[in-house]
Amino acid sequence: MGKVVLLVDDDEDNRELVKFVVSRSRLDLELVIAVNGLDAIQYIKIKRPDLILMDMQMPVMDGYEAVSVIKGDPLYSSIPIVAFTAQARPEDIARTRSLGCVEHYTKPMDPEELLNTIQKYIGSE
Amino acid sequence: MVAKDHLLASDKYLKNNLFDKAREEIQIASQVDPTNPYISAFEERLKLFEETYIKRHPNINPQNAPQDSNAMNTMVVTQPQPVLMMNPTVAPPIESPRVSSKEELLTSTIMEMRHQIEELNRALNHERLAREEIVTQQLDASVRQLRAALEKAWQFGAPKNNESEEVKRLVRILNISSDVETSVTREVKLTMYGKAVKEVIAKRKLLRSSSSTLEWLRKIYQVSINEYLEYESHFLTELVTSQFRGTMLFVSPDEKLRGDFVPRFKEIGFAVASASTAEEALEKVEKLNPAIVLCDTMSEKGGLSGFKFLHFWRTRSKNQTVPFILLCEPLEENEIRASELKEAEGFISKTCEFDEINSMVSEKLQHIREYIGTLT
Repeated sequence: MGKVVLLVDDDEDNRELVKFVVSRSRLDLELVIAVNGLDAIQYIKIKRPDLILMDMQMPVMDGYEAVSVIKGDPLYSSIPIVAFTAQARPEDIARTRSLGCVEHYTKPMDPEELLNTIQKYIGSE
Repeated sequence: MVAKDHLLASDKYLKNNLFDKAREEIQIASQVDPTNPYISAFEERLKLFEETYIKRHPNINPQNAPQDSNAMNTMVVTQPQPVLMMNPTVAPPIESPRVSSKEELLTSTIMEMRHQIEELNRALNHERLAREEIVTQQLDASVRQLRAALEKAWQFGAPKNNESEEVKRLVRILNISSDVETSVTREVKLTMYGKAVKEVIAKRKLLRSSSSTLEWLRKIYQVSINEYLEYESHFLTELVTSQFRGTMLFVSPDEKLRGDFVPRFKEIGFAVASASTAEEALEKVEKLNPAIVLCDTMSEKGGLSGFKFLHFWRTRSKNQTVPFILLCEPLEENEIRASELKEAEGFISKTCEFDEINSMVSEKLQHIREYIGTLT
């Protein structure tokens, strides 16, 4: 059974690019999409993902708030969340770390690096 | 020897013009079997041959006739068959008109046979072509099927083992040679790789490094360095041509038409200035030098029509190398066809698909590029 990765990003081009990269990785995983934090929280209640790639700047509910909600819920707090953001200042990194993100991945992305990050947390071959 | 053998020997001598020997054999046969009904027939036959020979060779004594059957060539065709095989009462006359008639008949028969052979050859050739066509079509169909399977397998990079096995199985079923398989596979691989490269290039702003991403893709699609270099020039050409294509002036009072076409021309690399009237277009022309003009023949009430705008356009010599395409109503096509459009000008129905219009735009621009190339 493939692992499930939830990508939370409001930017369609970014979503398409992650889809493009993941589809070519030939990793045995299913990439599912949410377009903001609220959408992501609703999704994980239906199907628990194995990893979340969370953009931090989004409308409706941003990534910071969404991570707080998820990490605050014992049912989902163990789901690894990678902050997937263009914000690369040390304070940004410190903030996502403090919220419980396992990693701070800075856009723009590098396909191989992104895939390595995903593999690191889902352990997929 | 029985009488029959002597008569046969006589026949043989007759054919060689040895009439005395033939006569001797007939006489012997007569002595052996005086009641043989064929003896008189042979005597008549001998007489006929001798007379015919004398007619044809008046200066030669039949006693001294050459022992050459070729001398009887004409007779060979017409001479009576051996007595034992023919009706002894019927001796064919040997006359030249009859020979001629038979030659004509023979010629006619030969001609007819030739005609039949030609017909047969044509039919065989037709059948061969039909068979080749079927084989070609079968191969085409097989290759199409293989290509579709390969495109699916290579869609996201080099196929997984099970996908490769599936393709191999299909190759065996379709009985496709390994050469064809290799060639189609390579073609599909490079095509799919090319598509992936284009997608990456389109999103390069989101990527940390285009070059490392392209290198990653090259590995994903198992494209060798040589293949990459071979493909690169083709790819770069496409990339360049898909970039800026020049400025286009798009003139139409129809907002929907502008809405349909302007964004699409922008997408494929044109900087498009649009105008709803010819007057507005003329103002814009003062500020920019369009590489091509697309102009609706229709105009708003009281405004300059597309035709009038074209006439005005032509008055400026610098515009002569700028393609001008009239977007017309389908019913106007015949009228425009009859008018004298210049080399750089053209027309197309505005009901045509975007691709058709774009194709005409490309064609006109290419034509002008070639023309300008001849001037420099």
